[in-house]
Amino acid sequence: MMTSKFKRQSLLVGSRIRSLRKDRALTQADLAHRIGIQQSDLCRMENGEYKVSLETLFKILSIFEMNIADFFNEDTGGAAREREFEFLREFQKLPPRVQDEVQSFIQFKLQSEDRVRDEKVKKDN
Amino acid sequence: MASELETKYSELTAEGSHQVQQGEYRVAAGHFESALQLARELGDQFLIDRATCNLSTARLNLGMIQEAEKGLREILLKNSDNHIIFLASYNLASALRKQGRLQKALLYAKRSLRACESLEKVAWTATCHNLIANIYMNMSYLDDAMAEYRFALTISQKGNLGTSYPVDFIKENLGYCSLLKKRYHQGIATILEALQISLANGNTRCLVECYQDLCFAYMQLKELKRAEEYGEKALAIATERDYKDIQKNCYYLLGEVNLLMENEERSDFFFDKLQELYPHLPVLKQFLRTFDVSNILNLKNPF
Repeated sequence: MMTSKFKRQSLLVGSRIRSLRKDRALTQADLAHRIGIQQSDLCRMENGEYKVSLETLFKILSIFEMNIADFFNEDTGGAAREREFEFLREFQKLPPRVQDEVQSFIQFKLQSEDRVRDEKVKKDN
Repeated sequence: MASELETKYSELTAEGSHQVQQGEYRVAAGHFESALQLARELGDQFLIDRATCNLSTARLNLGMIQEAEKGLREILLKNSDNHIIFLASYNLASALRKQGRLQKALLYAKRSLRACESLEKVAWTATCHNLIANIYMNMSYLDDAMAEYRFALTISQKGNLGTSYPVDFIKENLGYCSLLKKRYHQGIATILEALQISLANGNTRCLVECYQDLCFAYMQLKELKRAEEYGEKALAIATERDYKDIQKNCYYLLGEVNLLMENEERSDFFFDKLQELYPHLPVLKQFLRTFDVSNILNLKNPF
């Protein structure tokens, strides 16, 4: 089920904080100061060893002015991420049986696209 | 006249301390404020400092951190009385802890411990070890925290404290620490003991923490119905007593539990409540719906 797939993202939160910090050219000392924790604690947080309060977690989100999609894919553009995320939001609202149907449909469309591409390659050759 | 005022001061202080142990912090603050006023009328600096420290304790528990911290450093500078040093440094440590200044908090907590060791008050010594353990837990040094909690329980037993305050809190914290170490069944057993003690002691604050932490434990064990029941109990008391930190945690926990139960409407209700508290963070609800943050959270981190 899609929900549980995304729930597993929890394991990456620490490393995503590190990556977002680096993207924004923030040192550990800068970010720790802004969050209001010790630098050594931020380091442990990034390594998944330090547990935070809801308050601190929300402060981090606020500091990064974070779009949730930032956690999914840092390489795609903002608008694309929004669209993908909207899709995910709507997908999550579907019952599991319908989610399976949607996934099957996506697989079918991907295979169709592969076939079209293969035929085009054959024709070009 | 002076002796009447002193008697009244003692009564107010005793009643305020009793109310703190019952988790009635607003009532306690009222008693301590009256005691402070009397001490000023008497012009007795020792009583003024003691009342200031007591008022600080009540304010800390009400989340009035800046007000609680006010004057404590001055009291420490000018006092050599171990009773006052214990109270002032304990409260200063608690205030710093609530602001996330954990290294400094630890220094003052240890100073508080040194001061109360000479006073031979087992309950105070146990309370100091409990505070030190809380700071270690906030630092995520869970083994150190557990060792301190256990030591606090050992000296409580040796001092024949039985199940009186602060044994309920110490057991509750130890239980939660076990949960953070993913020893869920062990943690639940310890918290259930704390729950029985806090019910008997009428310690509402400890009771509500027990309910909250049992909700978390059963959520992690995926016994979701039971988790929901404890979460609802915790939220009801927290709302009635205005324990804002617990309310926030319960909104999160109940949102998450209902999400796991696939009660999306109910989950949205609680996440919306949480979202209302953070209007500047419009992604919060969706973030919590998307990520399982339960393994990176410490519900007892006050900052």
